[in-house]
Amino acid sequence: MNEALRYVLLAALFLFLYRVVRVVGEDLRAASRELDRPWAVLLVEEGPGLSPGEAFAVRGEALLGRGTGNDVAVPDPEAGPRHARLVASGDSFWLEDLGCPGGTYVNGRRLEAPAPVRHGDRVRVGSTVFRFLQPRGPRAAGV
Amino acid sequence: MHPAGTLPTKGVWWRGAELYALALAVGLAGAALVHANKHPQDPPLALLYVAAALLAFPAVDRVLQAGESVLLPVTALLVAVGLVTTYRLQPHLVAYQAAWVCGGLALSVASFRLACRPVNPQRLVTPLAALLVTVSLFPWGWAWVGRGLVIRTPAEAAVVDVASELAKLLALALGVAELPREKVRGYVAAAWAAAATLWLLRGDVGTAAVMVWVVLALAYCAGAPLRSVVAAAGGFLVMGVLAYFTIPQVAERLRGWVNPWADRLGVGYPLVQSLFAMAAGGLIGAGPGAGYPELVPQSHAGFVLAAVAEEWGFSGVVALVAAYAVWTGRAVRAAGQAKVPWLRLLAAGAAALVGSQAFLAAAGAAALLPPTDVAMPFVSARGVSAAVHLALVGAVLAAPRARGELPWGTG
Repeated sequence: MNEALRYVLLAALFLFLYRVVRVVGEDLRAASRELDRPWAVLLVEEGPGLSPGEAFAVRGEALLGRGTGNDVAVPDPEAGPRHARLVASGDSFWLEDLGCPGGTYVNGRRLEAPAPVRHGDRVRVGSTVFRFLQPRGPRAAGV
Repeated sequence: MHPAGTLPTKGVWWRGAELYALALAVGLAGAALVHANKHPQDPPLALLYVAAALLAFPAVDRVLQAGESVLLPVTALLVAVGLVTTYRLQPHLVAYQAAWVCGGLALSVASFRLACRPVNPQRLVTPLAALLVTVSLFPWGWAWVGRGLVIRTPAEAAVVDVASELAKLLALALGVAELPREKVRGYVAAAWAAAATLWLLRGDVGTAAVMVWVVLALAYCAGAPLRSVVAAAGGFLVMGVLAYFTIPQVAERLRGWVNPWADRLGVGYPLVQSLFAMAAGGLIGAGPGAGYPELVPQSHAGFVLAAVAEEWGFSGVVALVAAYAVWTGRAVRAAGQAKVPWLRLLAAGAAALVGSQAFLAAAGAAALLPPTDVAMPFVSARGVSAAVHLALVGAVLAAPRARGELPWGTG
């Protein structure tokens, strides 16, 4: 009985390490896939608590909002705690309003449903305005 | 924007649950073997303590939702090995050690939540320094607390345990708070002086070495030039040479390491017993509870690797070393993903702290380096050490999650 338990112990120990190595390997592969995902930059044009020219890099997906838990933390009292979401789909990015009363605007038009954003678009969250830059993505009209 | 694996995603919880189940299997199988081999007549309460402590890990994982699927399960495995070894060597301490682990996990939740807020790291330093001074000024009060309530070790040992953990934490917190302010030289000099005091006045070589290692790693991560780091390390070596010629205790310990067989019943005794224990373990060991690791002095603390080697064998040692390597690697990865500078330093410092202690304890037990009294993080039966390191785990898990950089000096 004890002898069997010894081997169970060693088996569990090494199965644990094997699974950990698998998980670490998966994470490394995921990180390498992450590098292949489309990227963009949100460049601050105006807004309280942010300096014009300040930039937020976005790769894959990002949450925009007032809380520091967001990927793009906007210190703007008019922005919601989780205001909007930017998601990559294929080669382009889509912007989704998360239901805050102030709304999310792209080139002055309020978002009613998720919509694609293009290189050069102006994105407004609360009273903060960003220029969306995706040099390798689809371009806005006139850019 | 988010680095892979740092946000909660579907499937991560189940992946973690499998690892927690395996860590629990290791803990319960080990404790059952110790019970069968050493205490068959006693009620198997230790299994309940081990199970309670290890089941707290997935619960904490679920509460934190940190999205890091390896660090906490590997910590659970190390704690499982530690609880089995504690039950084997100091059975009366296993309930206290399990309680310290649960307390440490509660601290890890608190530190995770704190680190996710916009905190001014300088606020960490003052309470830690005040606590360290209090422990130093009122050792008997603290000893009474430690001995009477939870630690149950001799009074002096309880104070030294608490004070040395506080000193290491203070060195880490000072670095995290001060290094981004271009005060690298002052910080390194202050930490160097503190380590020298510990070494020269108390003969506490292990804590001093760990402090110096953490300080140099932090200074390097904060951008100090390599030559300054090398110069500070060289200064510490010079101090070691001075200590050899001036402190009999240090000279004796070094002689016992260079040739333990010359005085195998005296100063070389712990090392000789440790080497015998390792040789006796062979490939798969005698099994928990079936060896004689109690013959190795301090086998529950500084020489815990000898106990693991004798009863879990070479394979157990390999697993333990691999677990520490993975832990340190994941903490370094968390530091690399951190957006907030002080959390980046804290995660790197935690990696240096755990990695250096594991290395010093393992190398000391295997006679690769002079043995010190440094405890193996999460494994040695030093409750306060387990709680402190588990609290650091919370901050490391928070490092990739916390967003929003605040200017230094605000918050």
